[in-house]
Amino acid sequence: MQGPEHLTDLLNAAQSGDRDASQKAYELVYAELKRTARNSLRRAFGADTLTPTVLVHEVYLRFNGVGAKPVRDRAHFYALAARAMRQILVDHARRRGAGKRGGGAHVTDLDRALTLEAGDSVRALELDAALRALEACDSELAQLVEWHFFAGLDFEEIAKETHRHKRTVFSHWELARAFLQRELGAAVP
Amino acid sequence: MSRAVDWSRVKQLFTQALDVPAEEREAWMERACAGDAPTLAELRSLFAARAAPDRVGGGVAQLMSPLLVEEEGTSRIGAQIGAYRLLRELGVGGMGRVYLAERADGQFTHQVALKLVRSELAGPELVQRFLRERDTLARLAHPNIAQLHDGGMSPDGSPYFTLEYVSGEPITNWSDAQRLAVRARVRLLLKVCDAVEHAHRNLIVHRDIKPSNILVTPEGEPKLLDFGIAKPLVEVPGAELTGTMMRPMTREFAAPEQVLGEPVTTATDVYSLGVMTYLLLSGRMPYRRAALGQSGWTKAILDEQPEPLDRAITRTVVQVAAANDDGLAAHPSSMIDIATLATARSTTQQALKRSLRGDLERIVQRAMAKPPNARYTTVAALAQDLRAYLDGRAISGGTRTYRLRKFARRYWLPLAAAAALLLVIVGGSVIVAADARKIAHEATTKLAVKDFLLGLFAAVDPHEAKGKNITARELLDRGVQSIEYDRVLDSAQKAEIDATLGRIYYQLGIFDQASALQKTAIQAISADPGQALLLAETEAEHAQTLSDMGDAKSAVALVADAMAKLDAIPRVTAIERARVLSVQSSVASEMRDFAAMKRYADAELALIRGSDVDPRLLFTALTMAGAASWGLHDPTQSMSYFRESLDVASRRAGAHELNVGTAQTNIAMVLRYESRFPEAVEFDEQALATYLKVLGPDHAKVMNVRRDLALSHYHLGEYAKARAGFEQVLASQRASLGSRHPSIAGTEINLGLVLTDSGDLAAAEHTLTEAIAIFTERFGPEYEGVRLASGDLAAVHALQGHLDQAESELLKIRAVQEKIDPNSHGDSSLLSRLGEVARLRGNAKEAVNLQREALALAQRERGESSRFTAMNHHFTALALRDAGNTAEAIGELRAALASFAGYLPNARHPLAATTRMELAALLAREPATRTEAIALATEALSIRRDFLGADDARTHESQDFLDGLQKAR
Repeated sequence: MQGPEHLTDLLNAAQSGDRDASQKAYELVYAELKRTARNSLRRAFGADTLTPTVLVHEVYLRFNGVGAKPVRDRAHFYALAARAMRQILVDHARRRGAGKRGGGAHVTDLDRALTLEAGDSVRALELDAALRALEACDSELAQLVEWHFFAGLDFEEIAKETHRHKRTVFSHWELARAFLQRELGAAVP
Repeated sequence: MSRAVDWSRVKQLFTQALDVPAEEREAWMERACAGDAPTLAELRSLFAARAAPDRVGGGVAQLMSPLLVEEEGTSRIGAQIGAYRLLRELGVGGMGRVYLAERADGQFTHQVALKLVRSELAGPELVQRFLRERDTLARLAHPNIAQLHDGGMSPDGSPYFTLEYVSGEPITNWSDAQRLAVRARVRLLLKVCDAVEHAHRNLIVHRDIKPSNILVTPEGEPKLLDFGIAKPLVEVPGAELTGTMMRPMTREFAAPEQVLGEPVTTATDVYSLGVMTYLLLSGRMPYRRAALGQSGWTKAILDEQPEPLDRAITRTVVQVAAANDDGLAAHPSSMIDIATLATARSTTQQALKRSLRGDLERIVQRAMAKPPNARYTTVAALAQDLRAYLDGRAISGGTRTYRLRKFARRYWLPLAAAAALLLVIVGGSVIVAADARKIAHEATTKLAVKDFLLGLFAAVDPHEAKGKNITARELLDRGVQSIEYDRVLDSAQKAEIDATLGRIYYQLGIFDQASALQKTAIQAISADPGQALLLAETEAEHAQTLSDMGDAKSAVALVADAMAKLDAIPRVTAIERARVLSVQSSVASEMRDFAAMKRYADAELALIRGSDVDPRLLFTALTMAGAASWGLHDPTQSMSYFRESLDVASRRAGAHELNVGTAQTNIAMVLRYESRFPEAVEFDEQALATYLKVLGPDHAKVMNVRRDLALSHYHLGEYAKARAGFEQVLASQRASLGSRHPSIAGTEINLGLVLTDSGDLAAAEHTLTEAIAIFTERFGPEYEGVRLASGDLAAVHALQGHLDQAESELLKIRAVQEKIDPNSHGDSSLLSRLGEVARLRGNAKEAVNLQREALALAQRERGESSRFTAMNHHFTALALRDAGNTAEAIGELRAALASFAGYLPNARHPLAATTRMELAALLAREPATRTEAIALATEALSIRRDFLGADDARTHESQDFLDGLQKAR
């Protein structure tokens, strides 16, 4: 990793409209998330204890560790982290789907206890599509979902970061969820 | 969603409606949207979706972690692990990832499968289990099991190993694609059975046999993969893993005892092989009523009888197995009707039905019997019945109690022995005093060694042992592998076992392996003063091995060191000292230092003769003393030692066959020296039969006897037999000893003689030249063997007409001889050859003198009845004849024939045929003796025809000679 302070600088630069810095910050967070996830999994000896919340918080703490310039714009960071997490999921699901279709694997003994089921990758891609539909309709709701799902922020935190009332956040969440449910085919027309 | 609605209005109304109690909400929304039907429909739809079973939440968190785990797999691509670079991921298992990898150092281009422990899960338990799979594989070497190559630690400290990369298809898919007929499928299954049986012989149960674990290569070889949940039958204490770590076996192929969590045995694999057989033959899974759910399968496995094969193929119900990747996914069985099945088996529906009835049906039913003890006791038994089916023989069906008893006996022993060992170790630790602990440790060491070796043999199926499929070598190799990975025995115990195994390998003539083990043992204990005796013994044994490998120089130093170590140990027993003396004597023999050899052997005999020692030790000492006497040119004393050694070896009840054989070959050696070839052949043939029975065809001793026999055949004039024998010996010696071993030169000298006397001079020259080079390289230019071979080569050159070359070679030999032993009386064959060169030069007088001198020597050394004496008479006669002394020449030729007749019945030998012809030629000069001449020529012709064949040029020569004599008459 290139150093936590580097992220802060990138975020600040991004804030003042530097698109390149924004992309770099995103890549940095993406890489850091994956690294942290691996380390956490190794320590925890199992996947059960690893949630997006734990992960994003850990990455956040890493970027705000001793000697690092604090990331002042937390909202910006969460936005990046949530987007990165979502991207990780989607990238993976696509690869996995491609692998399935290509059927190239020779060693076929797969204990799937800890790997993404074929059904799960489909679900992940569908969820991504539904989120994109929501984004097209209401980007504020889409970000709310991203933050909650992929950055693991609870409604209180989201309310604080977005300067909204917690009740409003909850209502919006309910609407976003209903929207996604319908997109995912749960609704009985 | 309809785009006609205003989303901000929907958002606002939705938020408000959330606060309205659910039962009043519909009415509230109708009022709020009065007249705006699209907005109302939108709200209704969203609330309906909201109330539907959740498809969004919850799952995301679960989706996240596994994919992050998988990320790692791809991120490793291109990374270097050990000597390998990862190319792509082949799969993920419960504990490891498998990558396709190639050597990064460019040394080999071949690809391997590299299995890496999943670092994200790498807790101590998993690592231990991973290492155990590696150990398991290390014990297996079979053409139908993906072979372990090597292993190590990756840079981040997680263990990995590499396997043979099998690029193939699951056995079921492959068989269908190849349209394999039922019988061909059975043959394929036999190979799988063989692989599983191999694992069982190594006390490993696979536990997860299924089509996706058996890939068939493009060449049609099935390969058994994935020993990830395999289990040693004899559990190493302390290595048991927690149940939670146990990866579930594949449900559809699981045996009832696996479902019930009962103990797994080899019978479990028999069951899975039964399911495999069922599936491969019929294309169906065995249980008709098995439902999709896990409990359905469980119930079927426990209660349901497999549907008869001929009925299963007509099944139209939806098949379950498509849910896994076990070779069925590509062809969901529900889509395959009996016509397709028949086509995939290159047969018709009716014929397929017929072939699946009867024997095959009984075989799968028995293999898949619910109680383990009702199944085939071993995979070999299953294979036997499959083979019986192929051969059209009756399959087995006898009582099972008999087999069961055998089974119990087979596995009871190692289990009980392991328990006993554990008890001794635990018991030993209670005793506090250091001495007592040492004694206890020695006791456990002895027990451990014994137990270990017993365990090797206990694992052999008696049926199979009778079929002599299993060799001692296999047993030992198995032992070496398991000792290497053993974690229970301490280093001294391991060293003792290594040393013991090394001794056995040595006995089997597998010297490189013996040497490696002995070296390991020596290294392990060299710094341990408590093991001084074992160290000295092992050093001596290693010296013996080195010496037999041809490195006598290192052996001399090592055994001297062993003796020095022994001298430093107080209270060494006579036997311990005798053992090292024995090696010293043996190594001296390898150095051709016969005086030292005899000195050590006599010292050893003084220690043990007449005392109550192992007769084998006495036997060895006598043999050494005999061989030393032989080397010191004292055949009489030599014979006396060898006769005594034969008595010792045969004396006791349960005579030691090998030693009897050794004594016989030694006696034969002396007999050959005394030109008593028919007797020598008799002794050697007895010895050969024994060696073949006990040691197998490739043992060095077998080769030596064959060489000796060939030598006798040579002397008896049976050149074809002799040549074939020597060439067989040479090929085998080159294969086992390399091309520059002195034993090879010894054989070449003999072969050279045969080639010379058979008339193939070019081959003789080539062979003898190589022998000289090898001996010179090993023992220097003055070694007796060099002189021997050079003399033979000079004879070849003389026959070729290169008289100058021959003479200079012979003179060189004489110069060396005189330098080594100025008082020597000379060497009869050297003098005789010099004489022959002189005669061919036309220098008959000098020739007569040399030949007379040679003859006198031969008569003194060999007696009147010997090949050498006979030949010297013969060449003396030729010299005399050329000198114009016909009468004396005739006398010498008659003496030659008498000499031949003294050791060969009726003097029937090709050389004696030549003597007869020379004699006949002289006798034919006088009318009075012409009749005798014709009789002699007739005998000569008969001998040449018998020994050399009717077509040989020399036979024709003999015929012409006879014809000439008869015409002259």
